[in-house]
Amino acid sequence: MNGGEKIVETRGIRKVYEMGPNRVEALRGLDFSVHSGEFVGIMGPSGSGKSTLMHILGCLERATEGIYLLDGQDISSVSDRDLSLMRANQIGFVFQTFSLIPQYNVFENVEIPFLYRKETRNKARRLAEKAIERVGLSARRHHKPSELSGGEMQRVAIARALAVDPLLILADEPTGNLDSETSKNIISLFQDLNEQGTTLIVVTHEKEVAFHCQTIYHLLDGQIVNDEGRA
Amino acid sequence: MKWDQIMRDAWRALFRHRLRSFLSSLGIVFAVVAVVAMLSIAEGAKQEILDQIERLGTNSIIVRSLQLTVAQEAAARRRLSHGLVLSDANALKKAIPTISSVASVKEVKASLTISIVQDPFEILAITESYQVAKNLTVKQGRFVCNTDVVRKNLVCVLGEEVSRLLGDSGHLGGVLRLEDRTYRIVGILHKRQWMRSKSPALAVRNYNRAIFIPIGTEVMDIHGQNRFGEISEIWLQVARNGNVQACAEAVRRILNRMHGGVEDFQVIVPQELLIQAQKTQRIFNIILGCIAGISLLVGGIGIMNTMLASVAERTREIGIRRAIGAGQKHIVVQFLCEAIVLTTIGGCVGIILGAGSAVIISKVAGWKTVLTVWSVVVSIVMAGGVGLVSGLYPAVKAARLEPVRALRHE
Repeated sequence: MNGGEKIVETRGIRKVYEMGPNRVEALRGLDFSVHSGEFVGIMGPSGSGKSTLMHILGCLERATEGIYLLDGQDISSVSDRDLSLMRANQIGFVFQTFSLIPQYNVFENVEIPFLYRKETRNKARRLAEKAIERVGLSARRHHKPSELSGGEMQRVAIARALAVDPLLILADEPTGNLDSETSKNIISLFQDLNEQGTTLIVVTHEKEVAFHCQTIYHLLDGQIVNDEGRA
Repeated sequence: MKWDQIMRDAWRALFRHRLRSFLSSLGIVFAVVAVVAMLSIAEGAKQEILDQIERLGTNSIIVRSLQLTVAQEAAARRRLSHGLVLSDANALKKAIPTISSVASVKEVKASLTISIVQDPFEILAITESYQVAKNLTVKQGRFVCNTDVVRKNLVCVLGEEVSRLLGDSGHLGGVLRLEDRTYRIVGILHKRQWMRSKSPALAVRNYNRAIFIPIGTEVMDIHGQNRFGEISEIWLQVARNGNVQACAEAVRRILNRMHGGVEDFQVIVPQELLIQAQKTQRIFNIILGCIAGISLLVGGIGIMNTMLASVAERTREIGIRRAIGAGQKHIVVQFLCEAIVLTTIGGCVGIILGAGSAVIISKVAGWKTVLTVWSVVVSIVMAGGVGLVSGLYPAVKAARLEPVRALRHE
């Protein structure tokens, strides 16, 4: 299902980490693209460069070399401020460890991204409520993360990513800390979102998750070794 | 920027670690308590001095007679000085044209025949101009006039408290026996505000407890002293266009010559005292500023330490916020707000405790203290400023964390 427009495109992306005298090449000339509405899986063993790719795609860090086009805009050399704006307006993150702010309740956690955007308070509230409803947590909107199960916490993280209606959602091992039953629910939620048009890139090493992806990229030593189209 | 949310977040972050926040704000609390209490004391002292100087009159010069030892008195007699005398007052009036009025007063050591109070009243033998000089207002009857002085009429005017305490015998038309003389009461004064002075130079008489009689009618002692017309004080009013300093110099020069160089008098110039008081106040303010500065510096270091600890333990939160769109500016604002909220709350508590301390000091030590809006504003601004300065480094440090590293932080 590669019919949508290309929203992510990398050309010859390289990432080198300088650690004292050592140079670690995490990505070695990666060409990669994702189309609007696609559900992409990135798989690979530890140290293959999955997380680095995820961070570059998520505008959390820049590539050492190569071009990264997000929605047609080259962001290889944009300022830190512009990267923050990209993250605020176009990207939603879902992390393995949920990454919720413990002192905030569900609603407040979902509302945080709006603190860094221009929406009015009322609109932010409305969008946050809608996102919580989409992940089925309306009844628990006033609960703190410590009062939620792992699956619920991940759903809060998904709601937070969804709330700002991003161009794409990046999920880093979203089921890594969940039991199999809860994992199925989260995957099912991702599928639903994708069917509603959300573009998803999921980094995983779980075949169950990858099974639901339309495209799977396998990474090894910082290079894509093959990609499988399922749709 | 959504300031309501930012402030709410700052409050929550501080409340989450309330004991740590409380302990770290104590430095600021104590610093502000010290600042507020000291400013209140300084302001109280300043107002007290200004009040007293104003009461003495900034356009006036006071010449007071000094008590001499027997040996000094003998030496003075040899130089033909008889202390401060009525003729000095007249000579000054004649010699210095810028002096608009002269009033003389002699403190009389006589006792009331019917003394019903332990604390004796002050008996002042005065000239007519003393009323204008001291701005004494008559409630009933009249004041001592020039005719009384010339004819040595045995009349007296009572202070409000004297009249009240004497009861029936203290009314207008009544009589008062001072030693062996009987004075007819011809006037009673209005009540006057009076405050005890800490400085002898600035001492203002309590006219409510004074009995005024015409100068020259006072009882002389058994040695018949006061044959030279000795007086206790000369009060000189300088005309509006006159230079008080120059006038005071002239007074010193003339009296020195008349007294043969004997220093049996003291010239008090309220304007000079005012300048001196302002100098002292400035020194006090500098010392106070240094103490406050050191206290705030120590308080600020405590706040910076707390904020650095907060940044360290919330590194992952910073990473999450950066990942979901927070720019460096947002992180700086967030941590700066926390530091400012912390110090401002500390400042507010400090102001309340400082004001309380000022009241306690005022009650216990009997010092006048004044809490001004200015000192409250200065304290709040200083506390907020300390928050801003001490929170800046931790906030910038937090903002400069790389998002990926911050996210990996456990």
